[in-house]
Amino acid sequence: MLVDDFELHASAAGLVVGRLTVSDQTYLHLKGIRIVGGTHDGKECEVAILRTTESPWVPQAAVHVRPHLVTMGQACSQASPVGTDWQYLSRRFDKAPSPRGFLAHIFTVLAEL
Amino acid sequence: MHGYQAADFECVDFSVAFTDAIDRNLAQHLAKGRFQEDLTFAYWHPSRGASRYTAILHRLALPDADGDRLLQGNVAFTAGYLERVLSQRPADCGVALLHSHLGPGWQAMSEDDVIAERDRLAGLVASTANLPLVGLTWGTDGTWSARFWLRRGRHQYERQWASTVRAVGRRLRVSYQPELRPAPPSPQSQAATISVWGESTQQDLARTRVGVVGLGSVGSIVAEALSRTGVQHVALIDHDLIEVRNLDRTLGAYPEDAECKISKVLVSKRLVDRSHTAASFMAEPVIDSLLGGDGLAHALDCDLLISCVDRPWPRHALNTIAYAHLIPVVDGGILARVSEGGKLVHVDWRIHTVGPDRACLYCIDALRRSDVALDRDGTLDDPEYIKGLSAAERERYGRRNVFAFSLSVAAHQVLHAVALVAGNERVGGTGPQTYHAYPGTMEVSARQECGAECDVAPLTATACSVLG
Repeated sequence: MLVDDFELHASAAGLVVGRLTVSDQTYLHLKGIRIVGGTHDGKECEVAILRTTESPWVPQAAVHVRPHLVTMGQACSQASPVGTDWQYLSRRFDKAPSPRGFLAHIFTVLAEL
Repeated sequence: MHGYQAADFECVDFSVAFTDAIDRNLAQHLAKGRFQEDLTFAYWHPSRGASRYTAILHRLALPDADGDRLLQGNVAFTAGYLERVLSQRPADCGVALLHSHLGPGWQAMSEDDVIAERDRLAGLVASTANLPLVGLTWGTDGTWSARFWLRRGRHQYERQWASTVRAVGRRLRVSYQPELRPAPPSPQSQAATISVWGESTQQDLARTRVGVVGLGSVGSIVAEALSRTGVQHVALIDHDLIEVRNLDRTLGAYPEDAECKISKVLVSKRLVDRSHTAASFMAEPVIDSLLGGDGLAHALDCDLLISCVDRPWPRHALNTIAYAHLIPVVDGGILARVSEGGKLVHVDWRIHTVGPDRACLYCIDALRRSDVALDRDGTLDDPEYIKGLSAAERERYGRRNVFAFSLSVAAHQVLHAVALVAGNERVGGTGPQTYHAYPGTMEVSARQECGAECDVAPLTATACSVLG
């Protein structure tokens, strides 16, 4: 999987995909994500994913979310370099490296909060 | 317009590489008996190292059964076939013409061959693809010869022979240009080695350019083993300096090296420059990380890489190089478990070769993507992060090791390298190996291929950018 593959897949899945640049780092910015399941079921949030360009793409072991969804420090969360209104959720991704699999991972992370 | 300049190729060593699967496909197509030559076109990607430029054949553009070439003992392509090949050329790909001869060994060119490549094709291909034409000839014994046609002026194309043609699969089979890479003599100092695997294997091994990535406990031993075995050209790649804590595990390192903070590469070079048995020997020092521009470029100059690094991020890069740039990688690792009281509980080590026709580091569970991500971010160097992990995870990142474990891993890595070059599994085993120090057994994995969902195998022969 290349990062471009994921970007295309997320767009094709109906998400609004943009980019954010913060301190020389570029993030994929997924807007209008509706959380399905968990304590935030039905809420809408934004997700940022670090955009790196190695081959194959290795997603960062983190999902950045806005607004904050848990008390900072709980559920493996910490301050996000994307901004103070963002929250860094530390999560490993070791499953099948497909765009579909990684998008499912993001939704699962949100649903498990 | 020509997108390349001949000056870009000054002092460059040329090579061609393809997978064993393509080689088999070509042999099937080109072998037409004792009296008939044949040809095909192919598309290639450029792989550029510090001093080597490799055309990596990605896909064949085989002729249709009839009408694409004229077969009359010798062979010629038709204008229609060439037109189709050029019009269907994938973006960023060069074009190669491959044809067979009726004799064995590295092939010279007939006047007709030269006219076809230099006068009919070189200009057309250069103006269409912005890359030089590559010509290859297949000998009846499977030996390949290859050349690049470089534009030197208006309608002027000059032949540059490739020094090697590499077919990469379960075996690394290299055809050598006899003047650029002559077979080395067999010195008396290698008599015992040659008595085990023979002169032919020794000549192939000697001419294989091997890169050792990481010159710590395992790499310093690997480098010494390669030099004593007779390998002529070894690239030593590491950015690190010798410290006191390295002295119990690094071959050739002394307290004064730690005191003076000498590079691990230079310590290893000092050792192998004295111990080598090859008549002509070069240990190329590359004081840079594999992830630095210089380190990566020198790795791409090699025919075979031995991974002696334990960090996930460079191992991810090596895994990609093995497939995308057709440079097989022999990798290894050690996991020593120690009780809270500080006693050794168990130790395993594993050795495996990755590249085409073999499962990659992810598919044999020798590397985890999330570890790569954490290493890239610098998280694995954060003591607070490590402190928060479970005991099992902390152990995994502990990188505990002693010299004797390194000796064993290094020995098996060298045996894997020899097996790859010799095509002899009786030297290196049949697959990925895991040694359990207790009870003392070596397990061999049956896994030979990547899984269907692997995203590394599809990069095979793409020569893609490794680090982006």
